[in-house]
Amino acid sequence: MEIREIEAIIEAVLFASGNALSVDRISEIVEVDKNTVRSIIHRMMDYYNYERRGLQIIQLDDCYQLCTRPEYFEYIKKLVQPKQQQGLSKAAMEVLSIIAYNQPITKSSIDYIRGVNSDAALARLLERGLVEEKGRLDAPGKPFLYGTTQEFLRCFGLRSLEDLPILNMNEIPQE
Amino acid sequence: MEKLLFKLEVFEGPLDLLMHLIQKNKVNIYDIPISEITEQYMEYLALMEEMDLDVSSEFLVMAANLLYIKSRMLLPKHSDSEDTDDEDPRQELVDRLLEYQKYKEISQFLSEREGRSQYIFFKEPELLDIEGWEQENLVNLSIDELIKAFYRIVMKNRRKAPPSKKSFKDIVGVEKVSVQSKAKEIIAILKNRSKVLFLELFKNMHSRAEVVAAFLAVLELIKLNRIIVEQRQYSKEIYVSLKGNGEVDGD
Repeated sequence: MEIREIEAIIEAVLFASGNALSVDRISEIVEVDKNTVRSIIHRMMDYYNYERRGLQIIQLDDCYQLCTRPEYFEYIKKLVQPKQQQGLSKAAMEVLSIIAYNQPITKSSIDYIRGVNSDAALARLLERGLVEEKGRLDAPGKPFLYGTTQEFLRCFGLRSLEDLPILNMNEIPQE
Repeated sequence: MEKLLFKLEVFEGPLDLLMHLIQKNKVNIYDIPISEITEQYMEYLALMEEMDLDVSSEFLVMAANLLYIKSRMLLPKHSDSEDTDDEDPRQELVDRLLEYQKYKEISQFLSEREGRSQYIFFKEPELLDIEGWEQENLVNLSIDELIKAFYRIVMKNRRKAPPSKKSFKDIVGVEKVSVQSKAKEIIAILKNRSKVLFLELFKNMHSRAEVVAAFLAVLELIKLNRIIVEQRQYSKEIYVSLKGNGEVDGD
């Protein structure tokens, strides 16, 4: 198969899917190995960006999704009235930061780091789909463990958790 | 006296408040003047109470913790005792504050990026029912089946449609039938014909209300000794006849 054909198939599949598609899945569909799929998609991304097309492909972990380019938001706005998503509270943002760096983490650990109860903030994050339950900790009470979702990456324009600034926890000098 | 106006900042918790106090006093976080900071912390709590704000238990726990650290700082150190664990009593608090501070910075970073996706639009996935396409033979659909399908929809809609006004007539009929007028009617019938079948009295009645009124009228007339209700034998016909002249008085 020619590369151009593979590109066309990936484009069509991403459009039909709407959702983010994993490299695994795409490689199954086009019957090309994963590394080739990745490099082809990155070539497509570069091309879309260079040509400043109306659409772009974004990366979310090892998944790819087709969406519009933010520059053309003003024009899309004329077509539909976008929902005004209310920003997260300071508390919710703190909880989200703690989860992002320590996942999977229990609620009581979050509470300890913040020094304050985080029930409401955590509930809001779950409702927004930014975090989710990721099993339970094998400890008394079997508390839930929380982690961030793909929606979290999407919402904050991150390709993966590696895009988060590096947090050096050993900065505290020992006297 | 001049009234002092406070602009009370809202803190996310005791650690947030402590960080604020440390920054405000420009003190070294590794060498917190615990006495001063504790004093200011307590002042703030008092202020919160004065303003009728809910002082959550976490703030109180931290207050107790600060006082504990302060008291430990006052105790003389036994430098040459067997207990070599001469860790600064503030150490744990400092660690927690530093860690918390990091996440505050991170949340700043996230706040700046929040809502980036607001300017991007995603498409809903196509409803792909490919299995259905492959299995069903779409060519063989006959007109008959189409008509049947349409008929089913019509029937379904009919069932869903609100019932007609007519079907409510017997339940919530506006017509009101008084027992008195029915009693008069019954007397009139009985005056014409001396003996009438009980069932005949209810002939040609349209509404439930009318039947009920007529029945009540019969009962009332029996009570008033105007009519006689007889039955020759069990489960045979019931006859109604006048007693005396059967006049119904004014009421």
